Amino acid sequence: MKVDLLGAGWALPADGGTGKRARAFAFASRRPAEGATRIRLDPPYPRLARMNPVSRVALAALVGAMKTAGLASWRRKRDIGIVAATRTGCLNTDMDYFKEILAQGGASASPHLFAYTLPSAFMGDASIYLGLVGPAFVIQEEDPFSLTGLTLAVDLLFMGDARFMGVGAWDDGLGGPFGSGKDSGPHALFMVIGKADENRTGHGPIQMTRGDAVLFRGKPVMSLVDIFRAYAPPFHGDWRGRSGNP
Amino acid sequence: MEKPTASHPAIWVTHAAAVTALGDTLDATWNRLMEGRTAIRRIRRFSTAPYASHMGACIEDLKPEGSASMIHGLMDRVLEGFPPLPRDTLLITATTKGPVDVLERVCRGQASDGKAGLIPHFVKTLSQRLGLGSPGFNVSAACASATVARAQACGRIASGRVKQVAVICAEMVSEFVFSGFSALQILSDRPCAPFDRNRKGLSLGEGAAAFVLTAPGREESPGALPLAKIHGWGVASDAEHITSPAPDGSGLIRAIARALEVAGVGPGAISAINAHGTGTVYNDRMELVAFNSLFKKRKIPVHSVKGAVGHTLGAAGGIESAVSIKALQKRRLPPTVGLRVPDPLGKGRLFFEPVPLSPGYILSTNSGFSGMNAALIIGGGNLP
Repeated sequence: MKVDLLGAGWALPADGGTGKRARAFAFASRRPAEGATRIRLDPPYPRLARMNPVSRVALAALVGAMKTAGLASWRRKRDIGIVAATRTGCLNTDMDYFKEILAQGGASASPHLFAYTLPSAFMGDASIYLGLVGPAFVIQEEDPFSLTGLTLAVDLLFMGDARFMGVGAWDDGLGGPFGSGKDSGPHALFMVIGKADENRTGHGPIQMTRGDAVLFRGKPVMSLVDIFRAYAPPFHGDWRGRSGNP
Repeated sequence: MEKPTASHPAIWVTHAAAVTALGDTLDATWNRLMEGRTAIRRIRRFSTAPYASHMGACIEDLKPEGSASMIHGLMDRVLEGFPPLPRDTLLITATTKGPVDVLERVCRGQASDGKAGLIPHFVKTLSQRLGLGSPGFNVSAACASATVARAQACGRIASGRVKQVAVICAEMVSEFVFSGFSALQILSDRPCAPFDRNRKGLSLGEGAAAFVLTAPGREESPGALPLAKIHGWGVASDAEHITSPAPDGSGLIRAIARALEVAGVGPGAISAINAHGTGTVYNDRMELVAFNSLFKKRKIPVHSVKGAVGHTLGAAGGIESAVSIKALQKRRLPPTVGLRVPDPLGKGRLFFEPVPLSPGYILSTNSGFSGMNAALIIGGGNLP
């Protein structure tokens, strides 16, 4: 099975990019979650300011990928899906939400904050902002940068569930009792793929063998990060120790 | 019954189990459902004093053991009688908050190691317990999680990547989740009444379901029971609202249409619907609008189990499909417990007592926050 890489976007606390350009929407900050508040989308998304930091970062990376793929603009809802992987999900939001319950009593619970304790919440925003009505779901695994989500997305394309798929990984980067070391901050990377088409100029073929080996531009890759590094040399963010083992 | 023209063979279900607040086994849950009983009662697990409701369907004797999450106790029950699986079996779980009790303890300062509260850790532990060679992954798609998980399991098998998938769905009633639904003002102050004209909201519940899905040709292998087949599956988004469904049911209609396409059948092949039926005004209306749009004047029976077992969120679709498999075996459909005055939109579709099941498939659907929708088309197996 062969698909084309059509676009890519990523967001780190101190760095971000779309396509082959790094720092296209960099939001340098010493405090990990602070950078997310500097994200802006064009055209504006009114709900952006109400989203939790990790969901904003994930949305920004996906929108970046869709822009590179030339799929960001729309008039009618499109048959495009999303598979996103994460390890910690929205743990920072979980902690904020429940600590508020404990501090102020249950009656003070924020319905808005509660909605963003679901890892899949950002997909609702993404589908509304980008007009996506294909299959969308989050997978949670120890190494979210593995190729599991990519293989699921490829299967959905080849079974006819969607015309294009956004596939990527995002995480809260939470340290403390849930990780090791300090918080690394929310971070995300996404790519957009479509079934290989000779009449379309993609950014390189991704080929999947029967044995689940994955080749990008003919060379074996072991993670989503490998694909990004081969695709966009400016993709120089330090992803080691963030989530899983890229 | 229509002859299917599917592009690939149906996926076998060779094991199905469920644990709910109605009973520790699928048989116990089924029997009490057919009697029209409900497990929704006053919650004693935590104080509900600050909240809009005091009702839920908890498994009363489910308690934490030491510092471990209660979800492991739930696993002990649902995995009772689970068959041994080849090491190359893939594990897919479905839960929205998983071991959320560990997270609560970390926030209360009662635990320092939160890793056991992370869902991937839970999945890995479960995989090791089942003796599988890879850790597997969890599917999180709000209240459609269990149905999306099985749709992906079917896709994995249909694409030839794996021969067998174990799908385990689980959710617990916790103060974390209860407080959130209370804040959203969608909890009913009395046991929920799905599709009732006077419904006031949902009741939370807890439970688990476990399935083994198998590639065609393996359903007769040792330890496998050819219980049922999943003929079609479909997943689609609304792209409308974060917490409310699309009023016209467009996302659900797309998911069902896709499931019918995969199964290679038309709406005429469906003989009953196991609906999401939460008891909220908006969800139930959206579903009835979607069913009326798809099935027109054909009065297919529609039921929901949530008035009996509560809304088990990420596990809901699993428990509901297990009940559907039982319904196919028994050729009877359980009533919607809690229903008194049917919503006029469901005229001719809703019923108060068990009804006979006509030959055909059961359509099982779920919808969730972020506009997520999923549908499965389930047919009977080879059991006498």
